[in-house]
Amino acid sequence: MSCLTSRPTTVNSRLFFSRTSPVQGYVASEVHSVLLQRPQAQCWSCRYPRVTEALTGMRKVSALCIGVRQWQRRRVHRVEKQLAPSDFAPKFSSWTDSCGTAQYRQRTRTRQLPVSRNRWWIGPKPAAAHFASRIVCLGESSSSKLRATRAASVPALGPDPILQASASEIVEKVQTGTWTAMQVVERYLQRLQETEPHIHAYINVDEQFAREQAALIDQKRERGEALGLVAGVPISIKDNLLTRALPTTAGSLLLENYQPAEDATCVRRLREQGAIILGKTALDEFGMGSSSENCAFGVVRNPRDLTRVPGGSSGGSAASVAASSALLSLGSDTGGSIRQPAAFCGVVGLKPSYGRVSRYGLIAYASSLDTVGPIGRSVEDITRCLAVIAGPDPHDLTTLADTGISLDALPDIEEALVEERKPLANIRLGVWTEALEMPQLASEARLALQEAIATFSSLGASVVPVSMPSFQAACAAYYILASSEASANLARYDGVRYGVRQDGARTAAEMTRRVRTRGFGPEVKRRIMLGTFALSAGYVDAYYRRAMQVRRLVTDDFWRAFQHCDFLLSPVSPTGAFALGAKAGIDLYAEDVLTVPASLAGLPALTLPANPSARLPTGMQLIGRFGDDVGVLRLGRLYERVAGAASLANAT
Amino acid sequence: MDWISAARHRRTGFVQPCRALWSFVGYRALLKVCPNENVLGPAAAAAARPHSERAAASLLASATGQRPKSGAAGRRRKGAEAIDRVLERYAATVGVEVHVQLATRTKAYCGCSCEQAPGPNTHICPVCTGQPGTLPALNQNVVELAVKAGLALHCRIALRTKFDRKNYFYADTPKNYQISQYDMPIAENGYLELPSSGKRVHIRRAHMEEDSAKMFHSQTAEEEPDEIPGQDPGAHEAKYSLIDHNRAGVPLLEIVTGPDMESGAEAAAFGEELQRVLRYAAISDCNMQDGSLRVDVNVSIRPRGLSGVRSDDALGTKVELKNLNSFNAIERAVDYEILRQAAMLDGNGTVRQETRLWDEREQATKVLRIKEGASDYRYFPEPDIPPILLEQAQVDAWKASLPELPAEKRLRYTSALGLTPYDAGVLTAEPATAFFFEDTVGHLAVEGLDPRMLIDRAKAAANWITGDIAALIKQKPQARSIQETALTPSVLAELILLIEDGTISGKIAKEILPELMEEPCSSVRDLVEKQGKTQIRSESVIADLIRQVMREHPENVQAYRQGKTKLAGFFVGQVMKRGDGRLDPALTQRLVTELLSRDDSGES
Repeated sequence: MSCLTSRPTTVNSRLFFSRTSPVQGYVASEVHSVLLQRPQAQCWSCRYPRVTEALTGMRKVSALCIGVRQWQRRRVHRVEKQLAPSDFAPKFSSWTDSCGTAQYRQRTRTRQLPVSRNRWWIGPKPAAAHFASRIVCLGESSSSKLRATRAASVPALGPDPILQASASEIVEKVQTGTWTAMQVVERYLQRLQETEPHIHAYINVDEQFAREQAALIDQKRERGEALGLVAGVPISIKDNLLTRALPTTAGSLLLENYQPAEDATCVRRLREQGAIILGKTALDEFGMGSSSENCAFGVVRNPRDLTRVPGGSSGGSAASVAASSALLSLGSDTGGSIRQPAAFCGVVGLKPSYGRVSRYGLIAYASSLDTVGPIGRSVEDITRCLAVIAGPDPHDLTTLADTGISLDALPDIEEALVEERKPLANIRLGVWTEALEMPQLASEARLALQEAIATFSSLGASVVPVSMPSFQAACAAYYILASSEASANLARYDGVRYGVRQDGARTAAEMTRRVRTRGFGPEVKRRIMLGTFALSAGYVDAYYRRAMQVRRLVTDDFWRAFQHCDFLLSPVSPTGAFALGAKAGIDLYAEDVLTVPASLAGLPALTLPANPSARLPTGMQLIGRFGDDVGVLRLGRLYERVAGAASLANAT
Repeated sequence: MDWISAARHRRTGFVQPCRALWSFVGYRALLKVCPNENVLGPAAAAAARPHSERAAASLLASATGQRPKSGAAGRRRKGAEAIDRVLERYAATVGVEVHVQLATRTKAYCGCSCEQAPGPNTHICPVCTGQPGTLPALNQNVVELAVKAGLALHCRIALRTKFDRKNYFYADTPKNYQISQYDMPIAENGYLELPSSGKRVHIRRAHMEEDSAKMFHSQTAEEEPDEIPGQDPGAHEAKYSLIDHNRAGVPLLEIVTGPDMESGAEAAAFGEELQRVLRYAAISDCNMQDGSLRVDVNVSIRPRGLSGVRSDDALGTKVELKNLNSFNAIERAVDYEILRQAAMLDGNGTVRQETRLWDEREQATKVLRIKEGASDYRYFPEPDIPPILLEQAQVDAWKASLPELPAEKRLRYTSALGLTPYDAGVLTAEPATAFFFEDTVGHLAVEGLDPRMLIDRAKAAANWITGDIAALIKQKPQARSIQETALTPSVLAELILLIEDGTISGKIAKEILPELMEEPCSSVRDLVEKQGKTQIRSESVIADLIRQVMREHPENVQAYRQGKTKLAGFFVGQVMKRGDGRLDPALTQRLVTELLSRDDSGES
């Protein structure tokens, strides 16, 4: 233990690091005090609540895991007695409020609105000087300006053929020469300049690079060459996906200057098929968050209501699509990071099956849960995008062997709608009862979902109520597993290669500590600590291993559920888009309660608005069997057609 | 692209001298491990095949890089008596932990070359430098070689195995975690038999992992450090450190033995035999100088007679020894440690659990660090590499592809070829020598040969290789192994046959051997005939010489005829001398006796 607190006195460079100490850079003393149960544990800079609070929360979370496990055991015995699972399931609210003291909320609220720090781009940097000239600065928002725009909404979009065109229309028109790719890009860049001061969806935009890509496509067309599947489609990329042409920060100060050596596999595939990258979108630092407020470079706002969060962590991606400053966006989903922001912003997002899309080039948060997926205006668009990015990759051993999707996946739905009155006659739609009955769910949201269920029913689907009782434990298990993996994945940011060197360090360990203390945001620090703690000797059985068991339970629950139905329907988030700064810490963790089960089981899950015409639509989640990405897309497409969801752009 | 600023931290930081050559031209498609299926593409497979031959050849070359050793246990060195005296009172327990570099062409999780790099940070890529977003892609050959090593060590092979992350912060580990194996090693529960004593050393486990980068710490003050208020600037030993990632991600096999050895000699013998086995099976070149074989030893002693039951509680406090760069160093370091610990216990002191470095110059161990209980590496399953499923058929195929290992060879040499255990040991010490010997015997074994005859010939070949040839190699520093000389197995076989059929004498053979080792020779018979060195078997020629001698020494003839028959030897010697060593000795002997007695009647 003493190795954790005592500062190294001998500065023999050979003894820089103690291999024996579980020091995670800056967190050493904090972990130490927590392990020793010292109540006076200090926060990092008094900007954040005590670590112990978080850990107490996680202990309760863990106790909950145990509870569910015991309940699961009991259920086996009592299955014949037909007891309702909710009798045994712990109450959802019991742990969300455990840490949410008034003081805690007060402090986090003031912290979470640092408008003066609001930067949406990365300014000229010495290390990337040659990029500086290409980066377009749309003007730094002063705090007063931000306050003024707070109530305003994103400039309305009039009838606009280019901005309202779907991906297939753009590809077709660019191929036939009706529009040039340059025209499309110019229109989108113009829109981006209008919307960006209000929503701050982008961290980095490179207009010149976008125009260069468009020019290349137009040249190709003039030469008569065939264009790709997404030729001319303006796309935004979440900033945790590597792009050779643009810096990639993962929303962290530590990677502020990081210039990747290569494109992520999914980005490369999109570029090969002619997509035009407009810029990199903001996210919660390293994907850790559910509100896009934890970004080192500013807070993203929901285009549908600028006082609300866009969700996270792919908040920038969803916001850019919702504001029509990109037609499609690539996001990443670890515990709901595509689905929740897509739902909050009223757009469509897909978390594919784990392994459907290569993770090579995705800055890892929790490797066993991370997925890359598309966010778009319509199911049709994201299907096109998925068809491009899906498929095996020799660089990622966890990719599935088959591509599993092609562009032929959707057209027969059109036919089915014309020909059959009940195209879903053979489909059993499971409705996740616990999720729909959650007390936090607003009544209009519940109403919207029930109407959606009625729509499916009218199309011939048989509706089956399904119980997924393990889901509350799933959220706890998710935070333990994701944090554990993150504690290892983020260990490489040690100041040796990334981050700004801090003066005054006398040993390499101290250098690492200083760089990480400055470079990581509070949420990232907290999760690294939680993960380090959950994996530590003496605790690994109670936390990590138990969480793995819960993961298994969740997978089993899904397996059982899919014995009775083909798809599961649920809300995406218990509350919907909330106000900026309204939630933090454990409250924010609870946002993911409905999305993490599918993540733990690796299942494909599609989010689309149940009532697209509402100002703040309710997100609906369709979960399919493992590998059945096409199935959920087809179901979603059918709903979209029937509910008239295709005209999303008008609603914005 | 300079993705890393080469900024130097003036006081304590590390300098990245990376030239950051992301050369993806040579970026090979990485291979998944699939059971029972070769996922190598046709091109890759074709490229891999000659490689394995090349690897084997280079292994042989490197294998012969070290002079043959007769086994550390065989020699008694100075100070052995002191050890013996201590070992009468104390029982020493020695366990070994070995890191072996697997002889793959590319690194464990990326396509970078494992070969000697032209400069620092040249064999690197985003994967082995731990860039954000990169993922490991397991090299199939790593698994194959690890399984083969396990089979060669008689281990149980895990058909289902996985990788784990071992978390620790150290600047030489790019990801700050090492992809290793924790609770499901690829091989477990085997043994290795020591050639000298036949003792079986238990192999607890062998698992795959990756090597770390190499660090260089500056020792000279290129820049004066800034004054740090209140701190002594002299406390800095290094101004900066450099990291070379060429070695990062190179596949290693860690082999852990049970605490089965009892002396430095045994530990050294274990290391030698392990090196031999792994070189034979072309699993590693096992060069201690290059670091492709690294041996750490754990030593503890306890008073004899205290506990009849041998349990872990009964063992003394163990001390880990590092920096053992030769088998000789292993033996000396362990013996030094036994003496040191015994002296401490004799003086009523206690042994601290610590890690010590062997100092070759001072022939002593020095404290490196003191261990404070078990380290917490926070192992958890590596999510980026799915569990590996092997099929028994695949393992069996790999087992069948293993060559004959030294222990089997020694057994065959002594039982089938009638060699002495000593000769068998010397011949099998290096794969190159053994292969040369076997080729020679192959040339000598004609069909229908009497087995006893073959044994004689094999013995002759063994004597030549371990005797005159070895001595000649030792004299010449430029040719360090039998394979590097001009001598081929067929030439040696011809030489042996020429001696056997009496064409040349053994003496002549010894004379022409240096020439045969210098220059390639197509036919030894032509050579000796050209030089006129064939044996003279003409009776008349020999008889003339005998008569000549008899004429010059009438008094000895007289003495012989008077009964001093011992003088026949004198005549034979004189005649042989005149015959320039080319006379057939048996024929000469017969003719001398004949003439001495016949001429008696004829001339008088």
